[in-house]
Amino acid sequence: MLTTGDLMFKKHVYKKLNLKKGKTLEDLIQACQKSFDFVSYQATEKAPFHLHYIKSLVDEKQIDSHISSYTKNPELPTLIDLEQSIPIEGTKIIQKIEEIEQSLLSGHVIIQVTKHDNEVLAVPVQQKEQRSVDIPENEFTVIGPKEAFIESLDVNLNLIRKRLPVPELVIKEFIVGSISKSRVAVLHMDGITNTQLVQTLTERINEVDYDEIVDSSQITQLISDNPNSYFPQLLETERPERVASALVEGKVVFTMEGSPQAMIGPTNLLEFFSSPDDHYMMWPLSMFFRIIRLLAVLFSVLATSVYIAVTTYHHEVIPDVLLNTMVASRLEVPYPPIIEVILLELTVELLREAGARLPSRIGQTIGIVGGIVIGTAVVEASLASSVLLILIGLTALSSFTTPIYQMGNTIRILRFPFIIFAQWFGFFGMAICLAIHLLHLIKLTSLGYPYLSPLYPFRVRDFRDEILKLPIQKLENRPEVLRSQKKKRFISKYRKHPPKDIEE
Amino acid sequence: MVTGCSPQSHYIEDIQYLQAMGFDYIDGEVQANGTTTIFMPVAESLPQSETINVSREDLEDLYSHMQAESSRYVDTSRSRVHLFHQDLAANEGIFGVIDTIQRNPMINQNLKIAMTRGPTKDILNEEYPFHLTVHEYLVELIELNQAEQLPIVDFQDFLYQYYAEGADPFLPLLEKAQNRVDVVGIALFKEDKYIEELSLDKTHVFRKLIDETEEGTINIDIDESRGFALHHLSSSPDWTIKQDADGIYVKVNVNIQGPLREARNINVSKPATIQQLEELAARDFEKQMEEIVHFFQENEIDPIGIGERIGQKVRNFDIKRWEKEEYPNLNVDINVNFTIENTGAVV
Amino acid sequence: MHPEAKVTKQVSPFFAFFIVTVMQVGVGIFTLPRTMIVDAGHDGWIAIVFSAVLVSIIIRIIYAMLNKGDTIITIQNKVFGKTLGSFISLFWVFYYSLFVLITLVAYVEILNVWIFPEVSLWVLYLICMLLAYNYTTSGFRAIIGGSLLAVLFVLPFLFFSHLPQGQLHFGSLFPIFDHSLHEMWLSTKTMTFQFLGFEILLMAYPFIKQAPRSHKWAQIGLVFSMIIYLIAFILPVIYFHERHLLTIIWPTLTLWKMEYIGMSIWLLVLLPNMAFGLWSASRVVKQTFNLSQRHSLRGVTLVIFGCALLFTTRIEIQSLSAFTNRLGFYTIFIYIPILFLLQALIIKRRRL
Repeated sequence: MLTTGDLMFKKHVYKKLNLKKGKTLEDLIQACQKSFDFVSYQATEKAPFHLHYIKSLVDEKQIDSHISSYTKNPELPTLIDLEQSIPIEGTKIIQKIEEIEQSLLSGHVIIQVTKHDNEVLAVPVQQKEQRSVDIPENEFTVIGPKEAFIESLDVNLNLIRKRLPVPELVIKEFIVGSISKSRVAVLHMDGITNTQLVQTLTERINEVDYDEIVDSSQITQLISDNPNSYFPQLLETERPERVASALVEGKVVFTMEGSPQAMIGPTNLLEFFSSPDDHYMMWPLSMFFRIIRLLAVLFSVLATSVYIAVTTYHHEVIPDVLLNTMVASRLEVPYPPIIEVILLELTVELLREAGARLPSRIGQTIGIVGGIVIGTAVVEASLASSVLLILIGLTALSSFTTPIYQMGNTIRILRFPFIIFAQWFGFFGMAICLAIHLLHLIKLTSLGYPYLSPLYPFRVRDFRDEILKLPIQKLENRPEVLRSQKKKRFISKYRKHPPKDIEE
Repeated sequence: MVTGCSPQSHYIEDIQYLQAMGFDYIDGEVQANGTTTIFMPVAESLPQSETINVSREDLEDLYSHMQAESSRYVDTSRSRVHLFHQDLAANEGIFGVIDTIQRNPMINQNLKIAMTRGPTKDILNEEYPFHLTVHEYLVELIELNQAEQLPIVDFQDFLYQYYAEGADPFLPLLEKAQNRVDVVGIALFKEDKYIEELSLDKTHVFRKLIDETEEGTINIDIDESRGFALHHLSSSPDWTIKQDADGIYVKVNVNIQGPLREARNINVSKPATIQQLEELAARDFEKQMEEIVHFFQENEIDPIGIGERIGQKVRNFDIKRWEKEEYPNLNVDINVNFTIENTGAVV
Repeated sequence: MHPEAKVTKQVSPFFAFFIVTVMQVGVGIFTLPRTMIVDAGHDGWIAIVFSAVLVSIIIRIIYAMLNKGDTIITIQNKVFGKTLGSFISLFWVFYYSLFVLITLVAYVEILNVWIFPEVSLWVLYLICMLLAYNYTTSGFRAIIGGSLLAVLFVLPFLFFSHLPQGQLHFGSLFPIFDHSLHEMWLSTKTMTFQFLGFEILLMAYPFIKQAPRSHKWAQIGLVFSMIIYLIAFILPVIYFHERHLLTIIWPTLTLWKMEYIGMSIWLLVLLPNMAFGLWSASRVVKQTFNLSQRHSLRGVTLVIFGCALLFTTRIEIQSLSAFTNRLGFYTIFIYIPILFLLQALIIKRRRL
């Protein structure tokens, strides 16, 4: 991993070099020498080779064991001889100054014959600092694979490729960011994915013009169809198997060196509520859980605004049996429901933010302190009604059922407009707010594909995986809306059952 | 906010809900009583009832004058029970009040109405057992009795029969006794005016003529020492109306069946005896039903809705003429089929 | 000839179903039982079916006409010539705007009576018009999307009705056909008003892919709204007495269990409905006078909002709807068939 020092160094070098047009290798070395970790020396007095590298980027052990012995050998006088003998793959002889610069700054050793030669041999000896593959934290599932992406692009690609060992999986590499030079890989399945879709994504990534990109979510913001929307338009995942199944469905994926997640597109609203373990369970269970999740989202967004609408304008809809409880809990609260709701909602948001910023153990404690201590105290002090406290607790709980973290955030935000509109016009206000949001969702696209599919455009066949989750044998078609090159995934064969006694 | 840009808010805790309403007739003046529940903030204490009342000469502005009696916003939209005193129903008629209710869209139209023998004020001011508030007690009383023995009538049924030309409305009749309220039968109306009442026993029989029932009990005495009783009687009336040259012919078949639960000094093990009992019960019912129909005809009211039933069968039927000229002398052919399903757990 | 709509702006023929359903169901469903019972009594359902048959024929004629010409405007220009054609096009701007106006006024009246008696009418008008304007500017496809969601998620709310066992008088529907032919005809005329709105197809036709194939879906949409109307008519008739029903302005609402939520969320049905009207009206202006659709849309929206402010009492609203009723009836059953015949004549003459 890069340290801040390295970053600052790189920026510095870049600036210097940019100033001089038509720079030479000598200029480059001169510019680099300002940093203490730039190493440049002649192999031996007798041998002609000069070695240049940046200490913090290379693995010096490799230089010692694989390079030094050959550069010191006087029997290898030319770069070509050297290239053939050094037992490291990926060496290359280059002349262009830009290429040399990039090699040097990405952890190559640059070997020059004489100090004034423009032709150099670049030997890749990058030092790879990375953590080991870990358990997914944000998209944890009880059953199914437990591998998650890490910050290394190559490891991530390995995690994906080993799940799809076919040559049709095509990975293209791009460099994004004028200073950060981040490596971005775009993946798709040849012969399945709609070529236009691949083109759209590559074009957009090529168009990205930003100096420093450190996480793939930044690219997402830059290439989103509607950057002003608060609905995520690409699906962010840290699970390699989710990426693999998206690729096979005919979607495109991109992932970036240095960020432990991959982005899947095009996506749609309902996909954010499906969890990978829906596919690992028997279908009646997963269908049930998925419906529960969708209802939880509806509840989470609407519950508090309904509370406001009902307690402020429409007391007629409270059933007789509940009236007593509702009124009794509101009686001693000194301010109107809207204040009460906003106060408690903000408290919950506060707890969540605090919990997210703190190490996980303290975070849990904060949750308990906030939830139980503050909650009880607030009700006992009659600052909020107990009915509302229950509602707030439930809405917070149900917003956590969303499997994708980004969408969870969206749902947190989404309830506030509804609360405000409910205060303004009761149920009618909520209908206004709903109309505005629906219109927005209808117009929204993800990589040019409709965000509300399969609802609009209406594709009943896509319902079986997107909303209902039917048995796996029935999921023989790729989503229609993707217009992939191969529509069928497999030909479903039905097993023959032995005839029952009644049919004999 | 600027007035008119947002609806007027009424927080649920600041509203005085009039949940049961009663209308009395005192010295030519209509008095309206509304019971509200006073909610207690602490979970242990139960809500209490309070009554406010206003007297006006007109029915129409009663509702608006309720507000003057209360420091809180008075709301009638949650009223579930409306009671009418006998005197009011007999003298003024009750449609005035009912029209005010149905005209106001804020009032939930799914409500119970009943007539009382004594002033409604007494009923609404009482405290009732089982820690129920007044309106809860009254709603439960009426609902349970309608499941068991009364024909089902609520606000909409009353309106239906009121507007129907070939039918007359009826309401449950309540009477206060100590700290409870008894159902004593039904009150029969002509238009919106009270005419006569039907005792509880007769109401049972009357109900079998108009509704399909699943519940009900009947007790038949053969002589002083012998008798039998049946529970869980299910019955269904089947009205046949034919029109021929002689006029309109009305017939009703009532099928009643149920298990025997009590047999005093009767040996019910023989099928022949059962048959005899069935025959006896059928005749008994037929006699009672005929009496009820005659009673209605004498009073020139038609709670069964015979005219309505004819209107649905006969084209271009002139109900008004028929009600006046033919109904009092109409011969209704009543036929009861009685089946004893079993004799309970013993023979 | 006007340039064809771009493929990317078109919708599949299937969506003709949603156009027709959303346009027809609208706000009339709440007042329908009473207006039907005035003449035909409990036989109103026959009038509903009969009226649906008539409308079905008209839809057939419209499709036959549009298959030979793009929109009503191009057809009129062909038949009457450019000048007279453009003049008659003005009528269609008025016609479509009138339907938006009547929907707006009728809906706001219900909101005002049932939920918000204290709110000034202009606030409600403004909210509805702003939203409808937004839907319209989002384009034809977005309006279709809105109507799809409305049909899928809002119409089912109608099923949450009070249907107490034992209080339904199925006998009220008998004897069948107890009214004179004249009464039935009057009711059929009234009913036609409820089925109006499918005239949007006259302008929307070029926006439907393989438009001739959408004819089937338009007819299915008609059958669907007929079924909804039948339910909306029969339920109150078997629940209320006929004479009682005559006094209830919005029987469907009285029967509805969720009137507060349902009435509010009905906005989602009416927005696409009004947006289609605004879209068509401004589209006519665009096609006839080559004004930009956005500008004409602004104009039409403002005019409708202004007119809405003039209607405040029930009687005014009733006379407006009676006028619209008559106008719609004559336009659909007299003008359209005549136009169809003229078009057929002209095409024949050109062939000879």
